[in-house]
Amino acid sequence: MRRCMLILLSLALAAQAQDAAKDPKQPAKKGTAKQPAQKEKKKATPAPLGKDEVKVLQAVIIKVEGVVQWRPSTKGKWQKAKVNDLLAPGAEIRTGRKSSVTLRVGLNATFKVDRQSRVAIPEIVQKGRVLKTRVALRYGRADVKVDRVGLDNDFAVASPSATLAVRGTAWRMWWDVNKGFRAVGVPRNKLRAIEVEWMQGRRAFLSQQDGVNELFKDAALAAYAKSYYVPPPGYESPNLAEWQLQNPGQVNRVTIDTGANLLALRGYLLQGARVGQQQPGGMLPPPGSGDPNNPFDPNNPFFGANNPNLPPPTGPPPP
Amino acid sequence: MRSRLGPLLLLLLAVACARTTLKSSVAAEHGGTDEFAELDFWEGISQARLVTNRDALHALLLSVEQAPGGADYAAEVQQARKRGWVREGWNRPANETAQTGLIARAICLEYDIEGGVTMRVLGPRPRYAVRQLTWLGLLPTRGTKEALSGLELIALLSNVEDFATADDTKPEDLE
Repeated sequence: MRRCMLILLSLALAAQAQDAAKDPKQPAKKGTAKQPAQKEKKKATPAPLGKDEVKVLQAVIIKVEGVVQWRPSTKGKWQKAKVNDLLAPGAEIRTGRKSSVTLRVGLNATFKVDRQSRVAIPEIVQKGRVLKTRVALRYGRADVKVDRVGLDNDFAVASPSATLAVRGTAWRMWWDVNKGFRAVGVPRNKLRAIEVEWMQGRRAFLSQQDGVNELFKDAALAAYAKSYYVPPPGYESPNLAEWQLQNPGQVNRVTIDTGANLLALRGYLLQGARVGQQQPGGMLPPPGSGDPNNPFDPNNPFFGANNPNLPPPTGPPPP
Repeated sequence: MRSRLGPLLLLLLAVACARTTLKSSVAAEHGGTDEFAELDFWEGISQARLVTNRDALHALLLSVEQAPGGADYAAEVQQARKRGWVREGWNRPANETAQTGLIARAICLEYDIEGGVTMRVLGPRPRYAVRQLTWLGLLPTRGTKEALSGLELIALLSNVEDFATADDTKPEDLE
């Protein structure tokens, strides 16, 4: 009887193990059902080449909106861009008004060339374990996303005034002659995901939605400028109040985005940054404006010399 | 001595204040209406050191999606007159450099940029149009009679396009 029970029990266990192997939802033991999925994942990752091996890659057009043209080289003939067109290194792209083109560049990058832009892709290669891509943005705007595909990314975009290098991230960049270089990251970016090298040799690192431009070459200073809310006296425009009512939430950008205001604000921020004082919810007014929040005003309740909350001076008065 | 210097100084002043006239315009070569001609025109403009009246009118007409006059400058001037960009009697040479005020006025009219009190009272005069575009951050600080380079014109028109479509300048997370 006991022997019969043992045989029945072993048969039941064997049947259950067989079912588990067939059912994909059932958690499986290591090295059994997970093997095919692992194989699929391995297939999606491009294989690294030998140490000195170089493979030239291509870009493929995946979306076209409006008037877009490309040519294979500087001396080639412009042709209309179509989906699935293959672009070899050296290709140039130009877009018209209200137009854009999206490309998959090499194995790791997606690149959207926006309206009124001129872009060249001089290099798309895989060298050993490195996916090397070089893009030149002569003018215009571009959105870029560089994925991590299991190999090392060496992706750089050059503009006339700055070069931007990344390892795996997404961002938008502009270059135009009026405002120069600007770049802004997307929210999912990691810390210091983007490195910007300016023409003057200065470097900046961007994380998440950080942005930089010609005037605020440092992400922290640019963010500081963005937090600016009330225009300092002397910088208001006659129709600012009306504009503020019509465009709630966009006051900061427009207020500071004019050349003269930006220059003034930059000097002021640098000054504020030096003294290390910032008001909660806004920037400090400019020195000498008579505002009670002015850190340089002697009647400032926090920083001023006549602040009644400050402890009385001790020791002899300064000479 | 003074009597000799006076006319000479006047002559120098007259020469210095005269507007520059270029040998040709980009629109003269790439003024066609097909898409290749249009992109060739923008390509040519991006390399132009100064924008002529003809190029400015051609670029503005393209920007407001009006079929430009092609090889005919007179037709483009006529269109500009009809749209109120220039006065009825305006008839500047095609290859003379365009004034920033003319371009700014046309943009303010086309994109309904009303401006402040003065501009609303007096209308989009070139002087106030330039100031308004500068205040909006679409144009760097410029004098009304200054000329723009080709890249400056492209940047201005691109900024205006973003402004008109309320582009929030947020980067797109591509799929």
